[in-house]
Amino acid sequence: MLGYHKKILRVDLTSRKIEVQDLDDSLLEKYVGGVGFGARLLYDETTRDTDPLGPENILAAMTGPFTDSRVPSSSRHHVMGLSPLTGILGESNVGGSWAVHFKKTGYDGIVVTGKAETPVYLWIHDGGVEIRDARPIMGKDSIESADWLKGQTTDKASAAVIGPAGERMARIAGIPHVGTIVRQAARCGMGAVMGSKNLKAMVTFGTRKVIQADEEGLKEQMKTALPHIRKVTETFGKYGTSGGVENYEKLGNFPLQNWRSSRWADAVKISGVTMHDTILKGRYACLQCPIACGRHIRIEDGPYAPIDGEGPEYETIGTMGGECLVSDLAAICKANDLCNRYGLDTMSTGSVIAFAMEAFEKGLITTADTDGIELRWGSGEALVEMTKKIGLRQGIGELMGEGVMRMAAALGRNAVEFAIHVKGLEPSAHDPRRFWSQALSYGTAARGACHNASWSHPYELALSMSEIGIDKPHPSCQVEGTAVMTANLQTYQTMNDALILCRFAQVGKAVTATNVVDWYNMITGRQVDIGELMAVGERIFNLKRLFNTRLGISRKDDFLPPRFLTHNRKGEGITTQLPPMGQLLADYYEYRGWNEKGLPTPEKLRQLGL
Amino acid sequence: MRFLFSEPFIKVAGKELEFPISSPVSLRALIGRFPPDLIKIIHHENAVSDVELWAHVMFFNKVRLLRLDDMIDNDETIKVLLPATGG
Repeated sequence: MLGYHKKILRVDLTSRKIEVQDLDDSLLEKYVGGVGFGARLLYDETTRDTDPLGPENILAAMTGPFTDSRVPSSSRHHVMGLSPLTGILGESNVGGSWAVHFKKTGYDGIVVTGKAETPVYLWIHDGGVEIRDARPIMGKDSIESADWLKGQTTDKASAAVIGPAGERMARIAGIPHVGTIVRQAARCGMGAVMGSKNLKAMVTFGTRKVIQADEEGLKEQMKTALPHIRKVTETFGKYGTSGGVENYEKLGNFPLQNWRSSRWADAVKISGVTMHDTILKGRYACLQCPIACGRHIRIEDGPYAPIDGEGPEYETIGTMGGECLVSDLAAICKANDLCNRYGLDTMSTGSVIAFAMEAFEKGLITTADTDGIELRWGSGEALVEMTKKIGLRQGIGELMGEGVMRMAAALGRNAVEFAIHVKGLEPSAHDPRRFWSQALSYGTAARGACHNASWSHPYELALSMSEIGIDKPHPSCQVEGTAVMTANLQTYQTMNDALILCRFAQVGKAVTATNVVDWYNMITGRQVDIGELMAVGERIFNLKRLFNTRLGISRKDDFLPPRFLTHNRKGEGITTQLPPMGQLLADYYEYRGWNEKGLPTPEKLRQLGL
Repeated sequence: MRFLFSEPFIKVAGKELEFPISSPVSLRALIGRFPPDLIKIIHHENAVSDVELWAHVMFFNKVRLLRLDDMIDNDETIKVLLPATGG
């Protein structure tokens, strides 16, 4: 099969042993790549007793057959390991340039195990991999560190490099990927896994081209595909992921005040349109992406100046802005910049600060706990100062860096009632009361409250995908059909994470399921249909569920936090029904072929070849 | 009937546009009455389907997302917003 190097690089930091694992065609057919390879390795190589922050945990970074091809929006990879934040399957999908540079070194993925005696970084290039001393950059932020690393290797390189938060093993630490732009594998505490291994960075640059079956055919298809993608994503690219903030606030999807409020007139102050009109200096794109949704912002005046770099994405604006009621765009930009530098997940950081603001309001924490910082709703200063404390693990920031679930347990009393997470992962900025498919997605996604597992909210609004049975947008707040649509989209998105294709390729139907199948066949030389690729997605999704059930996950863990199931909201345009999770889960399990406890049945596993 | 605009459309269209109509008219026909600059930034000239339109602009009657062939009455107010996609 073509489109792969058929090699996984394996590095054991304890023994400093480096090996190459060959991949056979049957594995490629069954799991395709990306999340498929990662889930298989994680299932096979960890146990119920694996400590997420112990040397026995694995850190896997996997590309797919679309990586380093002409397929647009495919410069991404999937990072996996046992999550220190949730204690279950951890995964994070990240863009930028690292994936393409890495695949060009001649490997499809890398697995790191063990723990180095002293801090090290990996330099992965055409000639192999070197384990090098990282002590000169310990304590330095990701951007300073990347500058140094490029000086030691090549300025063309891309560095997956943790900051102080990962070094100090904050459970909400991500892995910034610094090339010409910064992108984070932010979710599930993968930065802490790197920190636990004394692994500061993985730096890569290569020049080897992978052989594809019909590269000319793919090139020809791009002559029509690329102009179409540019046309339908023009508005999305112009205003970025946060262009729809005002819309989402009006629809009741935007998270407000730790998910307890309904309306917020200030949403417009932090929208992508305001950013565009005030501080936007340009757009950033992941390698080979025609959409260019990334924001280059510059702030030259005011208390948070200077900032010149990445602007916040929608999810960051939703969690740091909406959830905390902070309408100061400059403060959000500063906190976002600090997260990129410290290596913190902006979504978990914003969520835990919102949780702390409510705890402060309720008297569970006071200024004696916060070094005098008034943790009031709407305080941009508090947002920035708490982000610093979390990133550097100072004062109460040490506890906050453990995430909402652990902080609530530590505070005790009624904190659990307003601790918003599923399985330990703080949600994305999409309200499951507005989009019930997202309620199901938060409940059943392997990593916890994840909207990307289904990316279904646009399919309750405007999108359809007839190839997988979604002939028209699905009605919101309706039980009938929601489980089927959510499951089918989860399966489709899992397939995308195996091939490696960005969700945003679905905006405006820029890329269809038919395109995806055609391009996979052109790259690999196979002749499959959408049914066969969906079967791969379903196999991987079930394997991830199996991994979690081995760790004790079942129906009891698939419910949402109390606020989503009991706290109603009011206001024009706000849907007042709450998601009936019991019924939604029952429908979902039946469609998935799982039993009433949410465990895949033996028949289903046999059918999937698991 | 009235269209209420949000940013970035306000810069081109103002906060609202009013079109008195004596009988129900399709959204497609009403959009055709927009000023040329507004038609250009919502990409209506190229929008042959609802999905293509929704990639650039969304029209809501209360919480209902409107299609190009939906009929609008004179007493209705339609909100015009950027599409919602998120992260």
